[in-house]
Amino acid sequence: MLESFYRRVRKGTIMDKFVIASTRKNAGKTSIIIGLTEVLQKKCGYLKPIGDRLLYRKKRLWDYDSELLTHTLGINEKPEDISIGFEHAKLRYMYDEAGIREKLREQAALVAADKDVLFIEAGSGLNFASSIHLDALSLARHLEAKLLLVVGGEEDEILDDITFVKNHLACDEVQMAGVIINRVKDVDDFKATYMAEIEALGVKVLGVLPYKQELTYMPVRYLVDHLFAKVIGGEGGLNKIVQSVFVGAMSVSAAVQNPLFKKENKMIITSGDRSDMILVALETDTSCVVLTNNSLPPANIVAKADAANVPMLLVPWDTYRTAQQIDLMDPLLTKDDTPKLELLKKLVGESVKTQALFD
Amino acid sequence: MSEHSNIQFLFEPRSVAIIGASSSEDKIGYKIQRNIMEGGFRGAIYPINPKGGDILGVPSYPSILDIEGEVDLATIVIPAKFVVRAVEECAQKKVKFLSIITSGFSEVGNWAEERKIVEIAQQNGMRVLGPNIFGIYSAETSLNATFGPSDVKRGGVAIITQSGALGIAMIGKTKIENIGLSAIVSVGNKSDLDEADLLQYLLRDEATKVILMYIEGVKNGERLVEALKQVTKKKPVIAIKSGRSKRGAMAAASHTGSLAGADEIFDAVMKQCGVTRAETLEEALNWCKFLSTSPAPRGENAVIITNGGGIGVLAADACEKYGVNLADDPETMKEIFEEVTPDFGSIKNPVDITGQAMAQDYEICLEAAFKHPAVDSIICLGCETAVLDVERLTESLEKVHREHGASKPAVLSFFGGQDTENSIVHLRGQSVPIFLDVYDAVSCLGAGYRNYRNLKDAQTKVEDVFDPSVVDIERIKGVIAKVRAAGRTFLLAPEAQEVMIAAKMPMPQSKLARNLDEAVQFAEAIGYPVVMKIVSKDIIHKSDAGGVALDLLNKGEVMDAYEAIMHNARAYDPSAVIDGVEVVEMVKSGTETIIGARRDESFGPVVMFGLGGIYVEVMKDIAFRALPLNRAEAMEMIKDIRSYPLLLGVRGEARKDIEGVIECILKVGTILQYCEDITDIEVNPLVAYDQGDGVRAVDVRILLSKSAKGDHHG
Repeated sequence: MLESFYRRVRKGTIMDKFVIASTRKNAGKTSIIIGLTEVLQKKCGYLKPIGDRLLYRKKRLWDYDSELLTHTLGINEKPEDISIGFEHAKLRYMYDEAGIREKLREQAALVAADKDVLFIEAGSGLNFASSIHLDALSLARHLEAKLLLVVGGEEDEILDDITFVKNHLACDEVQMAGVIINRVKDVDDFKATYMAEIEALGVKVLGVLPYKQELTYMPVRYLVDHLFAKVIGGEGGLNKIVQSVFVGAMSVSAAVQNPLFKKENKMIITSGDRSDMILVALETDTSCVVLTNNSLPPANIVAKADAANVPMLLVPWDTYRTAQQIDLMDPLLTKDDTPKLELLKKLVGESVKTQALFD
Repeated sequence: MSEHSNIQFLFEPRSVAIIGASSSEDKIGYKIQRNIMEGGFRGAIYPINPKGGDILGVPSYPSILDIEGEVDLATIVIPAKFVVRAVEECAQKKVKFLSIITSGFSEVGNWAEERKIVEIAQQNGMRVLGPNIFGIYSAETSLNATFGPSDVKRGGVAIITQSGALGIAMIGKTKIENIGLSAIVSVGNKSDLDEADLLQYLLRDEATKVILMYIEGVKNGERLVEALKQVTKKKPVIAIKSGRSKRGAMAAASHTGSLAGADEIFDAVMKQCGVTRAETLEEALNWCKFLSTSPAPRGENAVIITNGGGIGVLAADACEKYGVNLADDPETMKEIFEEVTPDFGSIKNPVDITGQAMAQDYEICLEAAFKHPAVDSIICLGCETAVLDVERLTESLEKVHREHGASKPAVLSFFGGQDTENSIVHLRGQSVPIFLDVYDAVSCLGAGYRNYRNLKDAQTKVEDVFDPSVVDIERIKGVIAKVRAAGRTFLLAPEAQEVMIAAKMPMPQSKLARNLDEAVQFAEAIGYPVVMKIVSKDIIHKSDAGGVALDLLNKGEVMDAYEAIMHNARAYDPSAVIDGVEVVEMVKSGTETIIGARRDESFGPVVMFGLGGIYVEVMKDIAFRALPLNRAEAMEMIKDIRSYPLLLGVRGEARKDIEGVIECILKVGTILQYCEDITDIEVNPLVAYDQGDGVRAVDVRILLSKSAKGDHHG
């Protein structure tokens, strides 16, 4: 297979390969890849050499994004075969530099068979995994792929990242495919203010995608897994969507006057002994209640949650720490989240000059 | 117990002082003195009132110090603010026992004065009953030092009650129910004397046939357990406890903690001590009366005699509920009842003498049952019919009871109109154990059988005492010291393993790998399959955190598992300090059980056993016992769980190594008893294999108290 892969290279009939990289964590690489694969009318393959969203069940080890992409792309590859590993320690134990390069090319050959385009997702940050030769630039070099940079965040951060890469990253062996700017709060304003400066740097901007609140929503089920929470009631509502978070640490009278409390599909974080807060949450538009400090509410409260189909999630941490964890949580796409997938396709289709990728 | 504080002087005082005696009829001091006098107390009575003068014809004294003779018991019924002074005077007078009626102490938050009272008493060899009580009645000396009803029927029931109002009401109720009392004592705040002390007397008191305890809270559970175990070897004890547990709002750090509700523990400990627990006061008093007036059964064969099939079936159901075994030998039943039952009746058990039975038919049938040695107890039922002359029946039943009631226990239940109800009232007045409801009747017989079996077990059981020296306590204390020095209250897996080795608990091989290289090496050395578990002081519930990988068969799986465990641990708690990954020999499957031990607030160290694994809190198939435990008690605990048949072997499976399980229960209990620093120990699962193949403690969790304790046994 490897031989065939390189034969095609020599013949010039190889597919296009792109390493999707970012300068910071959670820039939206996976979402962009999904959007691109939906929009391009081509057979797409996916490789994520170093996984970061590990799933381990029944001795199977795979990356969350790999499973998502195999589903959305409809490809036959097993998610386990899409990543080489997750932890530096293990990869260092198993491979030296030559070995990792060999393994990488093997994986690429495997997933690229019969494909027109191969997307290779790099780790978070350009330097991630550089000590084990799996950073974005190494991937691009080893696989002779173009580098497509995804930047996101505050406007200053976007500018800093693009400028830094342009000015300081010597990419003689690596060809830049361009930059996609993601999660911009006001696209028109951004373009009017910054595009000229960016283009003056000689950077090819392939698209500017707007921030969409809907893409930050998470299903309750997702929270259960990522908070390692125990569901103690209201299991019927696990598919509900959480659109906002409210920390219920104040009195009920203060809470109900807070505009955030009136939001739809909210998640309430409070202690299990706050029956008053839980009850008023159950009486309003609440998607779930997270109970902190392993504090169980009375049985009648749990029964009310069951009747209302509002999941009650029990976690061992205090309210502050729980809120922090949720704040840091990345609202990952799920494979059955059709509305989000459709939205991504629409955003990429409308905002990204996809054909410019192949120029 | 010193001569001075011999509990006998509380129940059999030779002299009583009433501090707070009064000539005003509405005062409690007046009522108490009147009760003492009218009750027929034969000892010296000393009313104490600063005003002096005669009270109820007896000269009073301004102070207890003015009395010449000895005072065994002083009843104090003065305002709370004067009680300490009075106690000091009693101490000077060398009074033996104080019965402090006065309230206004710890029950309202006044702990300081109550402690002061006890301190003075203890320093002077006095014992304190109360405060906040209604007093004490003791039939032995005709002492009614209470402010309850003055006429108390004498008999064989002793009541210890933590509720004053309920206790007083029970005096009246027992009289109506024709239940005689040997004693009734109110313990109130239990500042000094408690149930365990009173039981010491009641155990020896010949007049006491049954003891009833009404309990709201238990303070010194270990003493109570010891006392109850002694008493129930000789006479029945019935307990009612109020305040069913509110399960703790916190999901505890151990499964044992989550499952050990206060009421579950109380229930288990009472059962362990041979105490019968009543659900209601009515039930308790019924049992008391029955047990104090009816003979004990001599065997398990109960017979039901009825004139109606429906009520007979109800009785059979009740027998199953209350543990009464029905005689089932058809030949014996035929021998006893063929001649005395109509042809169209039934001589199976229940024996149906049909709806046409008349009073004399009952009489003949009952006599046959009473006279035959194969019948050990009788349940006689009836429905009022057109042919059944209730008046005649009443006479017959009274006659049979009079002639045979002392030979074997019999309970009756009749159901009908006003005539039947009048008959029941009359018969109950004659101490015939007859009830409107068949379940009430059978529950009394059930109580009788529980006592019978308890006494039988106590006689035949060979106590197999466990030798605690098999557990290396010093080595365990060494481990604890290191954990304390590290500022933790939680033992890491290698430390818990060392404790198990010190206790000679069989465990799978394991090693702590600090990196992937070691993990692979250790797995190869131990041999596949292996299990890997995260080791971190910050991650207690390893499975929940994705920190456990099972059944790893080769090097590749070990590497993947190591990677997954480390990744999951960091995702669960990014700030967790990770010591490494434990590589453990994977034990073959067997029957998973759980052994837990913790310190209960009331009863001290308790042990739990049940069906184990990660679903233990869902299945809740567990039993508790208070420590110390012997092998026989551990076996009884194992039999208590619903899944016990699994250990005996089902569907062709072999019996499991129950003896190995017992040894582990006793070792875990010993560790908790002798290491006061440990608050919780949990072995889950303890895998039991076929008999002879032993058991293995797969996972152990040990928690320490927040601050260091002294040695338990020095």
